[in-house]
Amino acid sequence: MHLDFGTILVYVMSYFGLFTALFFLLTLYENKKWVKTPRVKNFPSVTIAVPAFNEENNIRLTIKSLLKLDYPKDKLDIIVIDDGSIDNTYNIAKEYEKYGVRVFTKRNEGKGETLNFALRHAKGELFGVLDADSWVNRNALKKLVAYFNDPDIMAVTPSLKIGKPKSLLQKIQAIEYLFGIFLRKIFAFLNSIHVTPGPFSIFRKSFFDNNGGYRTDTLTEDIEIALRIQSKGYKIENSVDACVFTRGPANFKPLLKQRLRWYKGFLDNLLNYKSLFSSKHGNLGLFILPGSLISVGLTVTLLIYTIFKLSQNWFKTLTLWYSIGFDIKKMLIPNLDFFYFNLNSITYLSIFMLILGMIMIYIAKAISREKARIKVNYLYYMLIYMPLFGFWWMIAIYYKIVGKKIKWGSKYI
Amino acid sequence: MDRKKIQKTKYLAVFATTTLIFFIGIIIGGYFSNLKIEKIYDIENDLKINILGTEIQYQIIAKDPCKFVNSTPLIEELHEMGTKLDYMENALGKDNKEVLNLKEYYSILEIRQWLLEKDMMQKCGSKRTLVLYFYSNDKHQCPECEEQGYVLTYARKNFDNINIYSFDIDTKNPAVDTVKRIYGVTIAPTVIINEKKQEGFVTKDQIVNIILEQMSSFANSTKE
Repeated sequence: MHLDFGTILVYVMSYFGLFTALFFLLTLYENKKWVKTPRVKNFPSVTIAVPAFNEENNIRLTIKSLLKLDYPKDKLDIIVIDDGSIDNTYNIAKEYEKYGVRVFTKRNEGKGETLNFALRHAKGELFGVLDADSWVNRNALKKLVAYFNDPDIMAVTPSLKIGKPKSLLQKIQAIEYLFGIFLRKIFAFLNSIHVTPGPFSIFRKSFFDNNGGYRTDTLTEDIEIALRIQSKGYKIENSVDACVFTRGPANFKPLLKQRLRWYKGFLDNLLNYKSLFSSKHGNLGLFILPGSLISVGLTVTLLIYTIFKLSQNWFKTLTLWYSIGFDIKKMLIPNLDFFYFNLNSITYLSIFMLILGMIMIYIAKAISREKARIKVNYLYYMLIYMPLFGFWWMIAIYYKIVGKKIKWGSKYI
Repeated sequence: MDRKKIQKTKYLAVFATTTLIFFIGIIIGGYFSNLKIEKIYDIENDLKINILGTEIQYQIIAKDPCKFVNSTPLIEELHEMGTKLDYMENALGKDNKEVLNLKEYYSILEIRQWLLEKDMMQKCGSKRTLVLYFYSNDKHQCPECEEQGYVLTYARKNFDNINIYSFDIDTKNPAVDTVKRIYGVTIAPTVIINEKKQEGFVTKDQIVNIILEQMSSFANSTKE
């Protein structure tokens, strides 16, 4: 057998991918009774904070969806904090004061400070955040609250979906988020959730009272807080039945910016919580966190290798074409004999992985009751997302190494 | 269930299953490349029958060769086998024993066909350009061989009456050695176009010019 670096890389990736997929599917099978959210028994008081920075176009939908929540009105406290927007965000929010929404405005300080401001004004036992570009299903809060019976549970995460995907990149993100729903449920079963997403994760407020508020020196406060909860030995749950919708960036540039912030934030926080990489922290320290770093490393290596090989091939082809004076008409007739179709082990393993990926996405679709048709989008996802994912990580790692700073954009993207 | 606990048996079970599936995948892939090797053997057997038939055919046509000048026995089969051999060499590596054996056999078939063609040219004035090409797959020994092969393929695809016989310079076989000795071939690439030897890279223009010259000389000889 011909073993070059690329072949070995694909074998290692397939092996690792297969191991992970089987591990996750087995975990789901073991816990299949616990996928659905239990019935809610009591209704603790909840404060939901909407931090908003230049969101005049989106904030109405966000506030309206919160007002429609199926939850006892006297137990639900909605606050909007305008972080010094230069548009009409504050005035629009003020319109909802008559429905009991508390609206604050302050000078612009960034998201972390804004969330701490919200914590200081929060009255509820539970505390949640809903970004002003997101909205919730009517039953979402009830489903999330149902998990707070166990005193060790400090946070519950929802099923996050891309709302009204239109552009190709949004459709790809929709698949990515579906995948995320599957992963988050599995991680919950393994007690390994390490991100409590900005849109509508609900926390026990006492955790902030006892362990400090949001850290303002991180790019991704939703990763920091999750890792902090894990490092203190508490639990984070997930409710697949609580659906929250968010607008994914529609275009390449804002999406790149979002991902650089996420991924660099992830690396920063992992360095700060190095101690989590230990079997003392169970599956999270032994497999999930190391596994996420390994998968990123493999993807980036594969991307760099593919780019290198492709440019090498193109250079070779150009040299060959040059040697015949670019008279290539008759050289381009392809050889369609089935004999030359390269059906080797790698092809089989790749097809197998593709099917496994599809199975996981369909499970995610089923458990989160998503009805959208996604077959074509899945194809786009496989073709476009993988290289994009590698590309984002490549830049994020580069930024991390050279110590380049990433800032929040004009909105909280 | 205590989720903090690491379930050792679960990790082991998944590890075992993964390894099993992984090797099944490799075995299936291997099975199909074996099918291909068997297909190559089929081709080899076909060729053996073919060449036997051609020899008899040749004995028959030798009596009245000019009737058969325009047919090109074996050359298509040879070309097909050559392509498949390239494929095998890429898939199995150039040091693979099957590949080396098949290559040697292929070289003999080429020489056989080349002799037949030369005979036809002498006896009944067949008008073809015969090219012997000695190459090496060793990139250090012959960095320009890939390009040379491409240029010759170009010539074959763009001109009808050209036969190209490629020989790996490292093939150890008395027949190939004899041809090498006749023309004094020592380095790759060496290209012999109608008995004229050229060492080193031959450009597309050089080859095309030789072929065109030949065609016009054929045309002239027919006129005379």
